[in-house]
Amino acid sequence: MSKTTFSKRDNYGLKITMFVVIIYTLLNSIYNLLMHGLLHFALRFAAGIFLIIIVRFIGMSKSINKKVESFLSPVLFVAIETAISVFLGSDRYYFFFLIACSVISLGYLERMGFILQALLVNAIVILLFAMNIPIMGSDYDMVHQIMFFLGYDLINILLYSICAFAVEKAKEQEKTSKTFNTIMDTTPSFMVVIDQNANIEYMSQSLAEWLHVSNVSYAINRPLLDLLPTIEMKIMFHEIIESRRFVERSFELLIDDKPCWFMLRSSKMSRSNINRFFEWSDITPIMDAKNAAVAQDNAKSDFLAKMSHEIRTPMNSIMGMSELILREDLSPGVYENTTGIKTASMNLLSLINDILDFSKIESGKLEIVKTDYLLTSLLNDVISVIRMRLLDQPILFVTNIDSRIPNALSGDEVRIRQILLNILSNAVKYTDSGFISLDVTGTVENQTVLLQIAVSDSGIGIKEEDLNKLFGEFVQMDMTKNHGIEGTGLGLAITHNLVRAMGGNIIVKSEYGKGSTFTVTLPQEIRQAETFAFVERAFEKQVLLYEPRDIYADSVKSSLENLGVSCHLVDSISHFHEALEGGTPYSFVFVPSFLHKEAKNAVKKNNSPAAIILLSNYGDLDLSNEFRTLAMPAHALSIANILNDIGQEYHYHSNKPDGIHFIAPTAKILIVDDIPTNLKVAEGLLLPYRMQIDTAKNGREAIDMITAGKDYDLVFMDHMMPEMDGLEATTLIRFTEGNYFKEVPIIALTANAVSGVKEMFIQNGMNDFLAKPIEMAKLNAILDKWIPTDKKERYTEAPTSQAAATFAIPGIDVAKGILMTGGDVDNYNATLSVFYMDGIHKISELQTCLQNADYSLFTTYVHALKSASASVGALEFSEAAKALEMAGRKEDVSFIEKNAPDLIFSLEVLLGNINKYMKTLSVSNHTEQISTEELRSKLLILRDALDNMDIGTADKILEEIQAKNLPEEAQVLMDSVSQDILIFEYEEANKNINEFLIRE
Amino acid sequence: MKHLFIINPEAAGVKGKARSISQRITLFFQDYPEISYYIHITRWCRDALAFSHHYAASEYLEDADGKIRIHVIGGMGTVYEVINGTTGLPGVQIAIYPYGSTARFLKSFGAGQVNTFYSFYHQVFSETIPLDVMKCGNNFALGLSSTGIGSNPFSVTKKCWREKRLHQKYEITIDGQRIYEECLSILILNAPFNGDKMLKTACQIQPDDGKLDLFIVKRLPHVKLLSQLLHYLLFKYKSYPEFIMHETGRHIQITSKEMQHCRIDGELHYETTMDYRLLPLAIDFVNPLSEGGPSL
Repeated sequence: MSKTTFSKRDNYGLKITMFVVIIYTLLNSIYNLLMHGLLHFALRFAAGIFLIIIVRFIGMSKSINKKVESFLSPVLFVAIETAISVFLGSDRYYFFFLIACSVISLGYLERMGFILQALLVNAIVILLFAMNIPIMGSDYDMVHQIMFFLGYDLINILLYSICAFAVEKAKEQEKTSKTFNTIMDTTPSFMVVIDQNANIEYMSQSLAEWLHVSNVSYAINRPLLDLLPTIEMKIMFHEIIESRRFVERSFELLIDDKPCWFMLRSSKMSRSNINRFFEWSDITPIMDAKNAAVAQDNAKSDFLAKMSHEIRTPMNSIMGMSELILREDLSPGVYENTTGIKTASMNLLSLINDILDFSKIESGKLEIVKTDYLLTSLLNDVISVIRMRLLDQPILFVTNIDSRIPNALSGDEVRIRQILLNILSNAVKYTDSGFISLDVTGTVENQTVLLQIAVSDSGIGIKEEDLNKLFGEFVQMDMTKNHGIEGTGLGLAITHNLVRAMGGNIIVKSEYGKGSTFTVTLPQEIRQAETFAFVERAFEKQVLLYEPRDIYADSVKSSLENLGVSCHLVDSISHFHEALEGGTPYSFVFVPSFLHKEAKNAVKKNNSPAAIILLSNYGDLDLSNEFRTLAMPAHALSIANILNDIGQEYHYHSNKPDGIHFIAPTAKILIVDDIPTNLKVAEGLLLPYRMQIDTAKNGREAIDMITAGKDYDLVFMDHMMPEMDGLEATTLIRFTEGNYFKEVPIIALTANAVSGVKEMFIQNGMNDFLAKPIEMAKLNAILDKWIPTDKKERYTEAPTSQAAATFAIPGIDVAKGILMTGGDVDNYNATLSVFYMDGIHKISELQTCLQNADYSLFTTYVHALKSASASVGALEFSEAAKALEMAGRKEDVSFIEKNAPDLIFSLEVLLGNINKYMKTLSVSNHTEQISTEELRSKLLILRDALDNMDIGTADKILEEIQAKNLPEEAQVLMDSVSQDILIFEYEEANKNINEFLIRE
Repeated sequence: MKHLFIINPEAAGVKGKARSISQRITLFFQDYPEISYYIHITRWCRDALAFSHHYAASEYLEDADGKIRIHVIGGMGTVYEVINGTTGLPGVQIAIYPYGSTARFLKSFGAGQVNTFYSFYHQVFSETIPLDVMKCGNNFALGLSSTGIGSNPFSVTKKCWREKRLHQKYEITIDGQRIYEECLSILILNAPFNGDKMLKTACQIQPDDGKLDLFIVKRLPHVKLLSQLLHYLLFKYKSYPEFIMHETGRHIQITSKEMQHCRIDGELHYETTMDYRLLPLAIDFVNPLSEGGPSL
């Protein structure tokens, strides 16, 4: 409700009339008393009183409206004045009096009333003229009086114009006011207008109710701040008033201890900074809905993250088990099926990883972690992965990497690798044939390089209308055409978010049906000015490139030119011969591996000193013994290595143990690398040598392991690692007291195989270096050189069941059992231990089932015993369990009742035998007693490893603990923990460890 | 410690002098360059409230031992604003200068010595004493609250004329006990009331006595009213002491079905229910007349 309201009583005409009448009566009466005597005074006074009464009556009368008042009051006034003037004689100011009456009528702002008033007064005057009454006295003749009369009417016309204008304005104002009042009365928003002193001018009804002001009028002219409920709100409004500008903001307020949200807008009303309009509304329902949606979204993300995490654990075991199965001698069918399981598991894991990443992005938990890294290493890894994926596909993969880009950078290497793999994997997915290219360039500015990474393909492309949706969530374009392509559709959304989080950008250009180009720009910090690749004395080297495949030819040529090396490209054998015959002293001849014979003959024929370099694809004939090879896609670094004669031909290994002439089962090897995948690859490559392999994740961990006295025969040390890099670790090892530490061979593992790097590693105390990706032949050479001769044994085929004949357990085919558990005795022993523990429980459970006649559960138990006993080689018992399982399925109760006791007895005997064996094992193996402190510290590490799902570490610690002679209680704990870990009950294992630690 | 001077240029005694007062302050501190001070001249209603709160609650005080002395140069209305802006904030001391209606309040600390309160030297260097504060609904007051005809004579008289009655029905509870229903005027005092309208006891109230004093002017019989009409119209209630009730307590609530006109430290409020609570020794007041004050 506003401060001002409009009604009939608000007409100013009545007030003016009354005021004029009173003043006129008083003045006229006094004047007449002084000038003309009592009679004049009495008449004037009586007329005045009469007029006052009449005007008052008119004002109070509800039947007389404002329009009637507007002519009635002045006309009555004129009539009485005229009558008195006529009665008393002339009035020389008569026409001025008439003008005054017109002004009175004007005060009512009624056009029609004004006209009527003018007409009636005109009629009176004309009547006076007609009656020849000299109303202005004898001083003025009739002509003058008529002139006055005409003047009076002209003024009336002028006053009418003013009246019409004022009426229009008043109507407009009234309309505006009514609208304003209606808004103020009905709006649910809280509105208030304050004047230049911050006192309230207008306030909406809703705000009055909200502030518990029963009547708006009580708030008018009061300071706004007095009415606001909290000091915080007062301060906020003070700030807004002081701000002198338009303000829009939300704020929170506790009302009855409940948080409420409001959206407030405020703007200045005039040139005064204080005079402002405020409007705010309750947006609590919207905020509640938003918070609920956010909470729901977070819950969804958390759920996804948790589920993904939970699924990863069994997925890892499925993949691990598949891997174990694949190491066995398998029939082609089983091999194929198992490969299928492994591939599907890997795909599923990849999807889960995507979901996990996406949920992290959505819940804002994604963090960009800056580390120092080498671009060479990163690109090598990515190229290797994509190259492997393109096996057997008619796609040429080429790379063009600017050799001048700084190599030592700082950024989130893991996430950049993920971005590159996502984009390249996408290209692989949507390209059936043609090419995929990876172009990397960089622009250096101060200490930052803006990497531009472009991935182009000749795939199916993207429709123009789909380009905008490309980075959305769960998007797969052209579903009909791409039917069968796996994926969540999250890859590009994740990539987009990752790029943005790193301050970069990603754009895509595509032509439907022809291919796409994704360009990522990423700012990265430069650590050192060293470039990506460099060719020594490049100007002296000339390369003859014979490559009929245009895409490869262009890529290799541009890489060579980028390195400053002169390159002559030919695309046919005749041109190749011509070039060689031309007399140019080529240093190198680059040819595809399938043209090696032609190249060899041509070079020989022309007596060229050029070294032949074969451009080799994965799966090409291995000619590495005869020629140096350059694995495709060749890039600046791999070409530079060849030209610098570094000796690291990039030949991607196959997993065949070709060229292995020895094994070293007693040799102890330590591999140090921060990337788990690299560790796995190295372990896999070393597997055929049957050495004892330990791994460490960084230099510090490596030092701890080396100084712990394990006497490693060889250490493979990665160069770049977090916490402590390979060079620092090597230096510290060499400075450690003792000859062993001065002499232990340390081999550098690096992707940075540029000229001079070997010298640098040797200067820093390393003995040799091996470039990544590791070449099998080179690895063999390194091992041959550095593994002590007395530890090398002649290579033979792996025994099917090692040490099978060394012990026997009655009722168990130990050899079969070892074979069933992966061919490893330790693994077999562990499985046997689990079988023993489980068997103890099963005896009582079987007996309970028989007592309760629960044959269904009994069948389930014997089914489990059947497979478990078979896996440890208890074949006879397994057969008996199988017979009972069959009986259970047929509900042959009599058979069960007859044979179950025998089975339970057999199980007891079997377990007894296993127990005896395990005791002998314990005595023979556990020679060293573990101290309480050592046990405690190892259990703590084990617990942390299980918390972090670091199963590698957990297994290692478990093995270390079990290698020691344990107190009985600790032995019980370790048996239980081993079993829990084996069945992926990590929480249960940790619970048992915690209970043990508290007890101890 | 930092010093914040809040000058209300519209207050009685200050009007037209704000600039010269400000210059005097600056001049005074030229002799004490180590003292940090700030002068704020208020521009609109309740500017002092928000400004003093903002200043006292901000990080400005981090390098000033967390203490600030706010010098109020204005009437009780300005004091009311500062009290409302700073009550509850730690480290705030309030110095009041005898301009406008504050002079009456300051008289209670030493009649005839009020001029000492004009001295910047005394106000800057004197010790403080803790005083009670009266919490009135959402607001705080130092002096008094008046309800009924005395709070807003013109408006209430107009209302009485319209409604043809002088009294209003109230439900008054003091520390949980209901004591009266219909009256002409109600006065709740935390500090002495030095006017000549109320009982003498009203002049002896101390602002640190841990209680609120309630004076109720009861309804007079018509005959009495007619005989005392002049006094009544001039609110000289002490002329009929038998109709004035005096109580003390710490929690007073006044409820009425009709809107109450309340004047709290000179500031007018309209409420149907007014809740008064005593906050014992809630502010630190600079008392230049206290023992141990600075010597000139």
